Amino acid sequence: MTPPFRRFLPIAVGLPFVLMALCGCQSTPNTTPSATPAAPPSTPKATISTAVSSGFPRTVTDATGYTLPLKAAPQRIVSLAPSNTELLYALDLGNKIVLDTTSCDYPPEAKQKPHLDALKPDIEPILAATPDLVVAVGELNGKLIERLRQQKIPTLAINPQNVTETYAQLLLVAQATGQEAKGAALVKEMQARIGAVKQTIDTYLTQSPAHKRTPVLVAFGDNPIYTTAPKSFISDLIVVAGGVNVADPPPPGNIVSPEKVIALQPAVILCSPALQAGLKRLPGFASGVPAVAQGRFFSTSEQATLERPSPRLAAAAEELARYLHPDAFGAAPAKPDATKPAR
Amino acid sequence: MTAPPAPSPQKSLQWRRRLAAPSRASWPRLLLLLLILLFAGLLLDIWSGEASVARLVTPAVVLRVLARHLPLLGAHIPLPSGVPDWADALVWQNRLPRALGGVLVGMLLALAGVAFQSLLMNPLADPYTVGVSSGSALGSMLVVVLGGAGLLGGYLPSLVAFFAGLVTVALVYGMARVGGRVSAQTFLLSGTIVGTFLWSLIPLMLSLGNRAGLDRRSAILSTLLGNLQYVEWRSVLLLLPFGVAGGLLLVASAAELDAMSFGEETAAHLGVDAEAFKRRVIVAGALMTAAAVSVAGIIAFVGFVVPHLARRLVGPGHRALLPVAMTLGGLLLVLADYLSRVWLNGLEIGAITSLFGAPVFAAVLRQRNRLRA
Repeated sequence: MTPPFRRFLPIAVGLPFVLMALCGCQSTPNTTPSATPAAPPSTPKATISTAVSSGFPRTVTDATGYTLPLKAAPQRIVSLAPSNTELLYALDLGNKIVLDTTSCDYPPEAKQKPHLDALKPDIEPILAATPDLVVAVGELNGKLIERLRQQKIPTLAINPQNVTETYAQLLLVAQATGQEAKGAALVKEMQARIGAVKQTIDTYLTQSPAHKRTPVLVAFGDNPIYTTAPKSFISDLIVVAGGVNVADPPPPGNIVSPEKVIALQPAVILCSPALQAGLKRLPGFASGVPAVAQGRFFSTSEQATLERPSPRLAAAAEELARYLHPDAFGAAPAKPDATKPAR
Repeated sequence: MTAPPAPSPQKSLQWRRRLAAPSRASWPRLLLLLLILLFAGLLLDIWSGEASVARLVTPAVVLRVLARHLPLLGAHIPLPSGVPDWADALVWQNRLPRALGGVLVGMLLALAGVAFQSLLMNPLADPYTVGVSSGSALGSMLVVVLGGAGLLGGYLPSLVAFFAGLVTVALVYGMARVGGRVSAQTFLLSGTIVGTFLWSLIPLMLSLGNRAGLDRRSAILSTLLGNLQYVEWRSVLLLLPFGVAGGLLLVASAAELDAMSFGEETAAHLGVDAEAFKRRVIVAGALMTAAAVSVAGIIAFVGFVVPHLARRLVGPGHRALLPVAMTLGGLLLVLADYLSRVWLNGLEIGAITSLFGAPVFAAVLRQRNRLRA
């Protein structure tokens, strides 16, 4: 006659950890700062230099150190993450995607593709799609990647953790798909746009001691509040846009307690619009947290994202910089588009 | 459970027995001690924070902030320079209601636990046995999954949880009622059946919540694991009437609860209107549990372990048992909240109470068996 809840407790206690591992899978960025061994050891240029080979067959070495043999330019591509789908569309490969995930919502056409469950992609639909390239996310699709490679399906694992790695791995995908020129142009454009924002903001910050970096909190979820550690692409872009991530040093598990948020005094909170109500309702936040007291919640427009390593990062840097420091961009005040829902 | 009067040859055992079942006269002193401990625990919880916050919000600052909220005097007490102005929001709006809410939830669960264990004459009963927790949790999860978490200023899940819990008990009561009578056995069984059935729907809710996005997913988990993060002054005010009413009702029924522990027939011979009495205690217990679950989610083990601990301390007489269990429940929860907030990085409080509740209960059980042997 055990009361039922006790039997489920081990599951219930274990779930948050499982979920923490899963939540990086769709739209949210990686919340585990320590788990970065899959990333290339800070040599983005090295991968770029190998891109000189032209024509197929060719081999490509991915972020996990795996070398894929590619006989011809892939015609049937499976994407296992929304950020990968975005990269492929940006490389003009949208028409070659045969399968993407339930979380793939950008560009809007991606929603029309056949879907895999983003949280637990099954191998069978992937095999049934007979792909000649699968673009996976290194640490999230670990077991699946192994099984796909056993089945001799060329599987490219990428996992960018910051802006520099995003460039490098965009080029990697371009190389694997024979779109080097397009990839290089994309990276160049991103670099130019983000560089321009950085320059404007840097000039603005040095103009006057009154121009300070804005303390910014990134929030995913309100109970508990997950945040993002420095050394992520969100943090990189916050710095570019003239802010500073208040979660430094990162709290354990990237969970920040409500009273810690009050103590950190963020002036702006980056979160999805759906989260605002919950954050406003946290005891003490309405009067104790400047961002909540002044309603300074930022989320990107449809054309930008801070949550995924995709070409839209450049637009996000621009939008965030204009929101944090409208003065730096001339007299024009912050565009109201910053409050529009992101997804 | 009282120690037999026969003198024991072993001195240590004798001492232990006295500790395990002190004479009836000493329980007010014990209660006073527990109340002092509860107050100390409350202060500890309000004073402490994780290291980086505690550097700025020291106990002295906390006392100042509290003093500023005294009527009349408060306005004249200035915050010393160097104290950030957000300390007031942190202490008065976040920490204090959370700690007080935790104490109240612990008290309600402990009282309801005593009520159900005594009424159903079953040591395994607890506030959740009769299905309130499953019903309440399911109600609030359903609201969250359907996306109504933000309605009514965010109070809709709590409200639905409260009423869903009550409806569940009404259903259980209706199922157990045969010819105008409700036997403890049947009530317990139908409670378990309904509770287990509703609980089996919770994985479904989790799965649906998983697909609905991170905010809904975390709201569902916090209901399931018990969580004091959203407790604010209004929640405290919501809990207080149930605490006072339920506590008074049960204390007033102490003699009848004592009589019931001899069995229903004996109680009837002693002049207890068993059916009306049972209904009254079930309604009181259900109200208290539903209020606690709707504010803090499912906090495991408190309502189960605390009555047993209290019985070890003061024996089975309800006049002493009820206030002692109540204070002990509050103390346990405020300590669990302290552990969670300061040392365990905000681990859900329900996880902590079950982590410590089971070993403590096992130890109590072993000790009792050793004394009996």
